Amino acid sequence: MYDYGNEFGRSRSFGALENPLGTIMLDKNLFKKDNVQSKGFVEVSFLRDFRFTVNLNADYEGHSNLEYLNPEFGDGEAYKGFCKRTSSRRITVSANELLNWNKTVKSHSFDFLAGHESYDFKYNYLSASRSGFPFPGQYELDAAAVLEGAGSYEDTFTMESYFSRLNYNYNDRYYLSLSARTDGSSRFARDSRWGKFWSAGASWRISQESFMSGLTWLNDLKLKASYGSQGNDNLGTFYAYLGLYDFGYNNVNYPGIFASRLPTPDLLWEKNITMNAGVEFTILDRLTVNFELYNRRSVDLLFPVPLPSSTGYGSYDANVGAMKNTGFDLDASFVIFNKARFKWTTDLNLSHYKNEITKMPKDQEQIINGSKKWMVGHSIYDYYIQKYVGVDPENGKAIWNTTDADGSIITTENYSYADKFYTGSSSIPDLQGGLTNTFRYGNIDLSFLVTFGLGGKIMDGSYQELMGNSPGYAMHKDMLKRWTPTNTDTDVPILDYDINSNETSDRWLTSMSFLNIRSLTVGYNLPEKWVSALHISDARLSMMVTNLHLFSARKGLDPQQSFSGTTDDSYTPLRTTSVNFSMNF
Amino acid sequence: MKRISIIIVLLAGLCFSCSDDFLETKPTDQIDANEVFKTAAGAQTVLDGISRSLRVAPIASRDDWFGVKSFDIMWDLMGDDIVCTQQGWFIYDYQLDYRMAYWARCSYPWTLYYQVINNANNILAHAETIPFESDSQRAGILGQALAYRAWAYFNLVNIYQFTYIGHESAPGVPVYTEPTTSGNGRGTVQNVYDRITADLGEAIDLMTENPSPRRHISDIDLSVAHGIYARVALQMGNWARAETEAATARQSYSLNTRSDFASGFSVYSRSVWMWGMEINNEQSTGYGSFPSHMDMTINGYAGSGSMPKYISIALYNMMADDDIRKQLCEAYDDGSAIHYINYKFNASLSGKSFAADQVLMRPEEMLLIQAEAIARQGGRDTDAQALLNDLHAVRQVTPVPVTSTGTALLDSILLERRFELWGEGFRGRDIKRLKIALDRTGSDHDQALCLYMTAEPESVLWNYQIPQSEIDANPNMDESDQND
Repeated sequence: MYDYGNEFGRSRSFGALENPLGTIMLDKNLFKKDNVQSKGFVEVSFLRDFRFTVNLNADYEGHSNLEYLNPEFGDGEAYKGFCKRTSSRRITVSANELLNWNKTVKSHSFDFLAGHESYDFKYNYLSASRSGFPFPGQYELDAAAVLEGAGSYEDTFTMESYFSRLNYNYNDRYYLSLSARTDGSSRFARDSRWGKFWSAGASWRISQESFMSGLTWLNDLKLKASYGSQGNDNLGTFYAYLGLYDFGYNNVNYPGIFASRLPTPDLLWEKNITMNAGVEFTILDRLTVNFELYNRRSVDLLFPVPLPSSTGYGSYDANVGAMKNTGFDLDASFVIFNKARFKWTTDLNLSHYKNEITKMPKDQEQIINGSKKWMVGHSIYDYYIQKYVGVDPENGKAIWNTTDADGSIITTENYSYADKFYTGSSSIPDLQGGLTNTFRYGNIDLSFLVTFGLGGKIMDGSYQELMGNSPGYAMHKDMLKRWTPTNTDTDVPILDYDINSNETSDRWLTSMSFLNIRSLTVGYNLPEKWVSALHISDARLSMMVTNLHLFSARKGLDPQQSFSGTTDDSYTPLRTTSVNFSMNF
Repeated sequence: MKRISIIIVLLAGLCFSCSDDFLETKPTDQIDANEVFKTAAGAQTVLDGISRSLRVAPIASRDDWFGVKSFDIMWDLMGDDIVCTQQGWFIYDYQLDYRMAYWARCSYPWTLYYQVINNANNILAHAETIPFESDSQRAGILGQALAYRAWAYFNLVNIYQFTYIGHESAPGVPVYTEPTTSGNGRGTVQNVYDRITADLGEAIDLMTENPSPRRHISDIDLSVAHGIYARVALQMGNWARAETEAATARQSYSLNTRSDFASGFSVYSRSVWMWGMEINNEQSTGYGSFPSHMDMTINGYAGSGSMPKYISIALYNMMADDDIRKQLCEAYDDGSAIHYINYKFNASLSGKSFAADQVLMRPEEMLLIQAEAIARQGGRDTDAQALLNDLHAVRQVTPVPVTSTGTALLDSILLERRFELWGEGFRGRDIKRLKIALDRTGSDHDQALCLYMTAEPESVLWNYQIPQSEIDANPNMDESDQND
């Protein structure tokens, strides 16, 4: 960056207050972390079949950080230097007491467990900052004069659970599993904090039946089904039922507070009820398949329901409705060749699911959630955004669809007038999976893992940013296709100061399909005679490359970033190459 | 030894969580709402929270969000008296292009003023149960809550709808008099003003009957409540009321002298303010603050030359040469043109930087309301002339007595508002209130940057849309309730 000097007005229009060289050299960002984990347990066996266990775990994590802006260059200049010290600690203590009973009577075998568990999480935070550093290079708080802030707080989160489980099997042929638990979370109010969950599962190993014994090509066959519920209490706050005012709205020396949260004393655990059926089999010692169908219903979904901000709040937490996820998972492993010199195996996993909202709250049948709209019959991942029509060839302005007074569809240059619509696309892929191939020829082996996704759309926010018009920011090369008086046949608008130009619309929806060569390994096992001459049991030389290549709709776009179909400027996974030589004695 | 440790682990494991209160947790950086109104001191913390909310930066990455002074800059940049020469924060305001439903400037005032209203409503909802220690304490707390509510509605209705006169039955903004979670419809502008005048009337009655000494410059005391009423009455064209409210509001204040005016507008005690925000280092919002954007003497956005705000040459030229307000301005050649820096906001004078105090009301504004209200009532031009002369006496070295009458007198009062209140958010509000055309020609505005050199009176550009999030979440509002 060119230094325009300090004289007034001699300033870059972009990043005027920044001095990258000065701040890299003189600013400090120090992070220290301590971590201690301890575990203890006692196990007592009694009355032959009983076992009683107590486990106690305590984890400590401490952070001590320093941020220092130097007094001479960059952001810290206006403060004559700025230092912020923060220190935090997290202590997690969990304990459980388990009673086990194991009994086998002839072909009947029982395994029973009852237990209690408690979990206690504490977080402490302390910070202080000062400015006005008279001596360069002195960066601790003591060296400065002006108090810029200080504060501390503690968070506590606790949970308690009681649970039991019974596993039964008859002759390794019929299996039955039953469980029940109740969990109490400090997030919820006293009267609604306990959630009750249970599950039941059964499986039948048909291949063990005598009538199947003649089928020698069938090595294993098992049918299985289960039904059960699980809870979720995580809604981004530890105090989900209290009405709260924020501290810290102090007015000079007068303490001040400001309403920040509505009370929600009726909040409950969200329940996920899963129904699962599947089959497992192995044929000819070559092909092993595990296929499962599931239907997971989520009821009492925990969600911050948007409130009109004229009420003074942006949202309130509620159990808003219900949805279901239906889909399948398939795992298959196939030995294609199995000769002494050459072996080739393929492992494949595939999954597919659909999401559908089945119930919304009575008073809010539609909820806009970012680029999605939630309503019954749609998925929570269905895009509901503005329709980008393209560029007006006359003036280069971006245009969107809108509805005029008569109800007919017209176009507008003003983004705020544009209509939203269900685009018909969602951020769920139609199919995703992974494929591993392993080849071995003599002493040489090669394997590669490919992951892929088919279908679905991602809102490419990174591309949207790169197509923006902020001076000084990086741009995408597609900007070269922008409208100019001589290039009017384009869908990239004119580059001007217009606030509308690159706003969110289906213009940024990009195919989520991808193919990622996740890893490739080539190995060579040293021949036996060499190895034995060296008096070692084996030796192997191998090379592995990860993230070899990602094929996606746009260079640099990694559709594996998030579920909700938005990009978050995360780093694309690094490609690493490693060479290993290993010996065993 | 082994046995002892086994017993310790057993006991610890068993007893841990035995207590019934194990699952009872409370935050330490927030307070349970049920505790707040158990004392009058608790209610006072909510009032102080409202005061502070007017100068909080809610989002660290947005250096143009720092409370109500960011709206003052918004208003002024939409007008003609401040000239920008660079891209930067507030450029969309200068381009009159930040009013639409999806933009950040549209949602921020809405959110902030309604939070003020909600907090005021929380206080008022507990009026009967707060154990006040005296009638004057009760009057002070409830009166301020009412006045804050009125003031917030007044600001809202002037951003999200055209002025009162001629738009009385146009859609207003939702009115709430108690805490709620269900959104109301827009009602009419008249409904909103009915609420504003009722609240101000009640606040003034309470504080008049049970007076108490002022605690701090940030408090709305009786004089400030009258001052807010004066602004409201002026907006409503209730000239007689505006005159008396303004006169009552400023009766215990002297006018700022030439040296007061030149003291930098950064320490409330160095000049005569009626209402203001005292700001210390800890509570300053740093680069995202009024001084950073407006004060050319400190190393913020304006002072570094990143986004300087100049006084329009046209306005500068209209001031008398011996006027302190002109004498604080200095020509500056930025390499491509001559502009005028206005050193009215000068935190360096008091050794301050971003933590400079901010003014919300001062006696000169009241004097100008009084003068305008008198001139508009007609027949008493000498009274209005006398008020202008009073002001000139403390701005100019050898003031020339005002002799104009009628429309000319009114025009010179309105012009005086631009001289006196430059940078304090009044020019943009006045363009909308007075239904005048925007005219940036004949000055140092650059069309390539400001986009609009002129705009029709009551142009749609002046009317903010209702934020989209409000339309989406409010069952009593839909797209048909949206402003153009």
